[in-house]
Amino acid sequence: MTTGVMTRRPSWYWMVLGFSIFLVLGGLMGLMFAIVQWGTPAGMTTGALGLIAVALGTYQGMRAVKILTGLSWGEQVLQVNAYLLLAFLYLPIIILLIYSFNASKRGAVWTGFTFHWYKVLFHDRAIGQAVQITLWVGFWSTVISTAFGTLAALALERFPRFRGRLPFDAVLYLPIIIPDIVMAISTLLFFVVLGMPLSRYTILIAHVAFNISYVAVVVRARLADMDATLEEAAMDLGADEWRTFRFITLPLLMPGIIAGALMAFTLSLDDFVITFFVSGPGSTTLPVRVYSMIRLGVTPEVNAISALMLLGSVSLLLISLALQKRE
Amino acid sequence: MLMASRLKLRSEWHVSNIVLQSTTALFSLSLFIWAGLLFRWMTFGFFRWHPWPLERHLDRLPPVIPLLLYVGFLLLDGVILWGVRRRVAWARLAGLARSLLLVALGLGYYAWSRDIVTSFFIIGLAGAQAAILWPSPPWALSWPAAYWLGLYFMLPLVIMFIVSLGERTSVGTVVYTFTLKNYARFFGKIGGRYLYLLILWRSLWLATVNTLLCLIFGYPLALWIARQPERRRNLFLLLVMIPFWTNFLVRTYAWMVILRDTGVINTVLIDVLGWAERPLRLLYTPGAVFLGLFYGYLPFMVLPLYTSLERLDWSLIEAAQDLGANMRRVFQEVMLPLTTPGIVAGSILVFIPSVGAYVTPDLLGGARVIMVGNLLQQQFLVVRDWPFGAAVGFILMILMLAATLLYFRTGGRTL
Repeated sequence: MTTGVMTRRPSWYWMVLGFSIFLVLGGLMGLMFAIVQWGTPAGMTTGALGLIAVALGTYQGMRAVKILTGLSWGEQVLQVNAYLLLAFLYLPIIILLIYSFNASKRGAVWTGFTFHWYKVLFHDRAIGQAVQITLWVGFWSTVISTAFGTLAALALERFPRFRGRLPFDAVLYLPIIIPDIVMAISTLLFFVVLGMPLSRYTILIAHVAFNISYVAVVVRARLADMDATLEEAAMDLGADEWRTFRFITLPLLMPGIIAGALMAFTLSLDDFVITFFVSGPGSTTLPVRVYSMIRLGVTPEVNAISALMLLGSVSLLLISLALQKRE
Repeated sequence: MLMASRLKLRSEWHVSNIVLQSTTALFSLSLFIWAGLLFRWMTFGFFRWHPWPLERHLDRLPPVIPLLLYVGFLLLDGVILWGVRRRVAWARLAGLARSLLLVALGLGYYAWSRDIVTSFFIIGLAGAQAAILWPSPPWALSWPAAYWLGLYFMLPLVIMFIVSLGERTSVGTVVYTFTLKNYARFFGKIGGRYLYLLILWRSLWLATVNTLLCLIFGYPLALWIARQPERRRNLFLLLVMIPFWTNFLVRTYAWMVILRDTGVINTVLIDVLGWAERPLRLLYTPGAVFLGLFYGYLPFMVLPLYTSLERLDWSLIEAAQDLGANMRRVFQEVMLPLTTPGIVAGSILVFIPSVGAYVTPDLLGGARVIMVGNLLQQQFLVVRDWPFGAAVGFILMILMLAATLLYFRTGGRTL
């Protein structure tokens, strides 16, 4: 009991924790050095020492945390895994954001803060046109696929059996299951064989084709969760089918439809592979334009436009979450 | 009077209100279109309209023919609408016949003009009108989606299969010879090696390992998020959703900024730490492709896993623990079976795009053909051997469908 009091003094374990973090970081540096200098005696020795330091630091650190906070080993593993993965997911994006403000034209050396690349971007007419086409395709494909997908979801959820229901259900799932590159090449072949010149309309057609499925899946999930008694009550009170649909079903379904529409819009804005194959010379969307810029060489303008696209996606996501929360 | 009743000309069409209203709406739409087309046709000289494709093609005919066509369909649809509103049975039959006629006209117009958008619209509208007059409410509802997917998704797959049976001519066009040569080439040896099978095998292997890794790292992450208190849970969920919704191209490009020869890592190693003289080759390696795949598809695994873990009834786990099961048995016998739908959905969402990945191997793997996605792009846009590319695409599609069916058989019920 007395020894327990001695060893469980918190300040001591805070020190142990700090030292183990130091050990792990140092060990990781050593491992990095070993990777760079692989094969040389100095590199291999540092690597071995680094490995030991990481192992020891991790063990001691986790023990200290266990004593300090009472978190079990399993919970600690979960927590460390979660924070490391989140850091892994965000580090590249954050680095990209930071470098879009770097004054240096090439290389990763920081030479100063600038908005220059954003200014270059706003004066680039090709990008302006690409943005215009992207938004046009996104808007119309969202409108068409939301209408058609919602109708299909209603048919599949409200009519449990009709002739040809099963094949239709399967076909509706297929665009989600098939790799997008297969869809891209088959659609390209279709347009070429039927003699349709590639334009913004061919992009729109392909985008609607894959968006219908996603909208239908989202709206169906909402319909399946919906309470059918309200509709029955409306019918009992004398409302006909149209009124029931207009004043009961549609308002209840609206969050699902909005979620589906936002998903369709995002998918349309973000799609690269299918658009890349079915876009014509005069009708590139923003992702296709960015891709060709990347292929021509990594430049700070690409960093800037990537940062803006990131901002766009995040704001769309926040809008969609806010709309869903309001319900 | 007697004749009329015997021919059932005056018999009533027993139909629900909603079908009647939808029919009215659809036929009013076509009345509006005919009237608009007629008006435009009559006033071309006066208003100088910008001609639509339909009007450009019809201009090749004597001008009285489109006029008769528009007036005839305007009158026909008007009479049908009038009859339908009065619920007379012959109006339904006339409407069905008229819709069939319009479908035939649309097909003929496509064969004559190759104007796919207009003929597609004509046939689509006529089909919807036929479905509602039949009357089959589920098909009237499904018709737009079924028609669009049938024409622009299923038909392209059929065409891809037909093209895959053809051969490439020296100028890059396709002749339809109906051979299995392309398939034989894919499964056969090229220069003493199974070149294409090897690429397919590598894609499948990379995708499998990637799926497993995403599962191994993603499951604990989803579990941890699901066990957080409400507000923190929503925050961390948002943090996983942001990469899910961000452009894949941008996220792949971020790794190029980090890994390239003058990128972040090499700058730190050479200029800041001084550990290396020459840049390390990090980009354009299989390792970079692997990293890109894992980074790209991890959120696709975490989100479905989180959904199924969040729905998990934690009292079941407590009950298992109270009954004396250790953590391992609790996981094996309670958590794993209950979260199988999430695991299946996440695995499908990671595995299928990983096999068919194009952006990641192209940007992070360099110009070499590493995965099937590169091979397809090369065959279609560089070599222009479309029949062989179509064959590869068809094989990939069949493989993915088989994998999905297998998953559904063994695992969950819904995606």
